[in-house]
Amino acid sequence: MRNNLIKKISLKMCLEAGLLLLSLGMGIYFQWEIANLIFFLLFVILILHPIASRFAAFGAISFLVVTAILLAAKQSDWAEISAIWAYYLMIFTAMLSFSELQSDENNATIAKDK
Amino acid sequence: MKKWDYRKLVGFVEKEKRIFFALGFLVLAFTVNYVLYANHKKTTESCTEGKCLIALPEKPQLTKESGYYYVDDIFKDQPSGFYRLTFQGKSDQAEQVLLKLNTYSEKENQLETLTFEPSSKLQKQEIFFFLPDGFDSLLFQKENSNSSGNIFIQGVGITKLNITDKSELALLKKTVLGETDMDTVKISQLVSDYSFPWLKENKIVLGQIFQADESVISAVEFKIDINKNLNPGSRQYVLSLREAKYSGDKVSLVGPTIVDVTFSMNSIEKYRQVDGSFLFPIYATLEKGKYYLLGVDNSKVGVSNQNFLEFRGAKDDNSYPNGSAVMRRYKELYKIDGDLYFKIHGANLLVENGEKILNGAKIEYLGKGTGKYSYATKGKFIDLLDLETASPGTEFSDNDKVVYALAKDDASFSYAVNTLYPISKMNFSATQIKAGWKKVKISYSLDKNNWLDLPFSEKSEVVINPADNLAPDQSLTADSTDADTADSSDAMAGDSSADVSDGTAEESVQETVQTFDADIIPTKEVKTVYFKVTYDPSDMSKGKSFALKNLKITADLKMK
Repeated sequence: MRNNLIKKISLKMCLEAGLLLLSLGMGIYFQWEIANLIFFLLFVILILHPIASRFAAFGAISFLVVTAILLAAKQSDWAEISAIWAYYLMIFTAMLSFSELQSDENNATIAKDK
Repeated sequence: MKKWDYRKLVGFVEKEKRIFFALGFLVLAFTVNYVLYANHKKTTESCTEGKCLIALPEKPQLTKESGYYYVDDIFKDQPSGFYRLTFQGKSDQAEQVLLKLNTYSEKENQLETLTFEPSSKLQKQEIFFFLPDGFDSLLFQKENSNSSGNIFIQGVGITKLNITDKSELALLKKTVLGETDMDTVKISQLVSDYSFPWLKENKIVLGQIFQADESVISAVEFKIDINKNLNPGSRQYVLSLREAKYSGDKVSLVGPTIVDVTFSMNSIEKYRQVDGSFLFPIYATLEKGKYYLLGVDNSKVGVSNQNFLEFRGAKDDNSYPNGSAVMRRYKELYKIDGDLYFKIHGANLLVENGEKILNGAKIEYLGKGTGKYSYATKGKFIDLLDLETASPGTEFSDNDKVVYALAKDDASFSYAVNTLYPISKMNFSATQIKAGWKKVKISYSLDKNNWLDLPFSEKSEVVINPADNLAPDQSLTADSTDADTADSSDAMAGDSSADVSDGTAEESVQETVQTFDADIIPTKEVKTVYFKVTYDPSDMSKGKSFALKNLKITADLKMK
């Protein structure tokens, strides 16, 4: 049984590592910028291992605040980059929220069945 | 041998569905990127024969499908008498065209048969005729309506002659029409088999050092391949001209930017030529023998391996012996191997009797010793080439279609109006571009020594600009649009007050606009009048630039 568990974990880990390598390969093939590649990898990791959506939402709001500060400081180039990152994090938030809703519904169904 | 248990696989998929969801997401991301983003490269070669032109080519007036071209109402309210007809025409094959007087009741009177030889350049034509009563239009008609030639006819104009008898026609002098030749190319490097990839890196200036061999540069031609993904943004590249010191290996810049042109990855296409190269209008006076740098700066653009410009040129350093390709990286300018493909276009005004004639200026003999001079700005870049002198920072605004200059120090630009014949009376008319720009001061001189100010009248202009619907100049910024470099704050300057109602701010601007309309009557024999346009230093408004629109100069001439 222990051997089986190790076997299962290894297969899952191998598949996940393969997906991350594939993502990295895509980034190199399409010559993405480093920041974009990091966000893409983060997105794939969050699909595999979701976290609470409030963390991503907090990140999005933080970047929006930074954008406003940068705009006030007339750093429009950095403000644009910050706004794009805020946008990415909002997408993460939406995705994680859907995932949470799905889990809640599943849990509710299981509780009802019991 | 172990039996394959598919239920195990189904169980694994159900349990680890996130992995398969992630795999699906990767496939989707790859497909979208591959279809929409990868390998989107426009090369010079793929854009030859006008394949990438965004501007519609001009349409011919006479074709196989349409063999009639009417110039309606050209004779309306014109008295009977002798006239001169001038126009410019060209055809892509030999053609005969009938020229007729016409009325709406289809009454016709043939004047003559015109012969067009195949030509790529417009040719001036001048015809004298007698206009009887009762005609109002002019008709160009293909003699052979089935011929496939395309004929272009432009600039049709008539002038009433001051003659009463046909015998006087023989004494008429030929009309002089000012034309600027912009096709002169003396400095060039025409090898383009190598691509310079450096503009894919951030904050790079890539350019070419050249040695001036002409006193004027009117445009520069480059071959550029465009690597562009779906949304390259609207941030601006800056093509600028600067004086440089160059001695084989060492390069350094001297003084500020002389002139620059800005364009984004999208707006660059408006400079595309039929052969796939790009022709950037860039006007400046140069000193023969001095070195200059024409360089493109990508500092404001978010470049990447998917979004960048590749300049074409030669890897061989000796392709252009009097200069070299150069690059600025980390604020250091240095020479690199090779030369960019480039052609420096000069500009030559028509010279008649040793005098330069402004582009589009017309000098016509009317008969009985009288003549007429007429010139008007065209609202095109070529207006810049008519300037006799221009202080640094004088440019043409694509948005406002005027020549403008920054109102600082002793900024000015001037015209030398040569009429070839003595002037009996000259009229100068123009209007200050718009409310909020710096007030203009115009002075004239008959000898370049004694200058007199031209009078002007003023009329009040009220402009109400909702904050979200500003005039084109105001709403544009260098980063977000393809705005020309015309001063964007000018239109908002002046006595302004902000009014906020219903959540939308309105800016009401009240300002007077100057109108110049003055006659100059020389007391001695004069053939040239000089006009100097500068700003009024006593104008304390916030305007930063000055310019004139609708500039028109006419003169009565003594042509004995």
